[in-house]
Amino acid sequence: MAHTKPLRTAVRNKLITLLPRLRRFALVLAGDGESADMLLRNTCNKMLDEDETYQQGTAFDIWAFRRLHDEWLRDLRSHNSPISQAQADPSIFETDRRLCPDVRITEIADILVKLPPQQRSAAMLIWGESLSYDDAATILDTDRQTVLARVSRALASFVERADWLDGIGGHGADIQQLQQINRQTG
Amino acid sequence: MTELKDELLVAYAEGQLAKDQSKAIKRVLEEDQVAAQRVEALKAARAHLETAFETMMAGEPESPPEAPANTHAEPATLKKRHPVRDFLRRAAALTPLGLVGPVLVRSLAFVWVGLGGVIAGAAGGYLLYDQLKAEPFETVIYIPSEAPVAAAPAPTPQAPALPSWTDDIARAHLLLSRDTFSTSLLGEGNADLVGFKISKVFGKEFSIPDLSADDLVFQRAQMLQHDGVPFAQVAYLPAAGSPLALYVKASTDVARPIQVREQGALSLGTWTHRGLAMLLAGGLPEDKLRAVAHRINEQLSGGKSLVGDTGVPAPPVSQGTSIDLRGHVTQSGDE
Repeated sequence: MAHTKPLRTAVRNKLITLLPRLRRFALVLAGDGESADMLLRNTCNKMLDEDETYQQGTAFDIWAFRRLHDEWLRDLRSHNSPISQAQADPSIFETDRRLCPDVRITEIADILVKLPPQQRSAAMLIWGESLSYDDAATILDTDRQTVLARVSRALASFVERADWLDGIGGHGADIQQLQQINRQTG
Repeated sequence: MTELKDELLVAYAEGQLAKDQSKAIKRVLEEDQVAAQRVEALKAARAHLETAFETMMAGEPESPPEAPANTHAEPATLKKRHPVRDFLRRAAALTPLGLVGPVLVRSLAFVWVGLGGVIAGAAGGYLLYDQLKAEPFETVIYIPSEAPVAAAPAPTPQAPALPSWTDDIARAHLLLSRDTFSTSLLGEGNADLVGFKISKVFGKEFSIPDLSADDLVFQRAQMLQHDGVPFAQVAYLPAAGSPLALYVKASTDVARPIQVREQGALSLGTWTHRGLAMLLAGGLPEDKLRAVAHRINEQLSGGKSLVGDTGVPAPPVSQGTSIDLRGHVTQSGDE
């Protein structure tokens, strides 16, 4: 299909603007720098080739993030050992300590790599990108309840593994109280 | 059950529950210290995750600008081949100029609005610093110092430095030369005078284009320099909106047709005509700027080399050679 120049230019400009954020999402999905760059490169090339699928006036970042997620899923499904492919390298979350105000970044990185990429990516979209649950659901091709479940499991896993959080409720709440809440909230 | 519990508490902490649900949980939390602590732990975990995700971006450069806001990338550099460079090249190739860099776009408004007189003109030329660095006005691809899609994160990333106003001005100042001050401010607005002087510098006939048909009023022209190579800036003002300027420098390239592209808030037109490389820059729409470029080209088409006509030789424009507006050539070290 012939592309109109304004559309192609718009997609190109928006894509370049979005690259750092896309790369972070690619890192969270792919788990290591090399795979993330390959994923990002392939996705960007496809987005440029199929820029007509982008509807002008709609949220470009949502469209681009979804394309990246779709490409990651496609790669994962085509691999012989998808589970091993989803393992992450802690170094992607560890940066220069001067840039990180959290003194526990190493421990946090260790916890993050142990999370399934689905939970990592949902958490990243909600708390890294500050997207709404509906937008995150669109990107992840699921519903908002699933997104909420994923980030909840991510947080619960984090609390269980972060022993320094023990003092502030690292263990579960009383089961009877929880049942009471569930009854009250239907 | 535990999953359900946390999902509910997270939904509460995230404000994802209906009002009555939220109130119900709030009442329970007021009575149940354990559940309240669990919520606090989940919130603390969330804060750690937010920091971790934010930290991932800390070593990355800011996005190149789609609009000239939120930009503080390092100055543009041309890097060696990179695994993702192909993509960036491809993206940049869609507009031949590529992405020159946020500094230029941001500085355009800064220069014209914030500075006056000679400095404003010089800084205006600075906006095209990287363009001029190319010979004569060729494609420059913007790659941030820390490429956004570089390989594995650098082991010791540096905090992205904000180019300060002093950095911008320092670069703009480099565009000034003695020639910049060889014509009085009054004389800079005399189209015949500055046109003649520019002709002398480049050894080519050059008249200040009359763009009144495009509602562009000539303001002034001045000589600037880059790496010892002189270039002229001819500035116009529309009835409203940002200025437009034609930059002219000598070129040995063959004639190249007018090419226009958008670059951020700017439209840029480049072409080469009878030994002069032209760069037209302004905030006009692309089509409008193209029309202006064609009008300039038509008006200059009658020009011819002054060599032989006036006895003024075409001066060399190599580095280390200084040329004043009277056509006097001074080799560095002569003084």
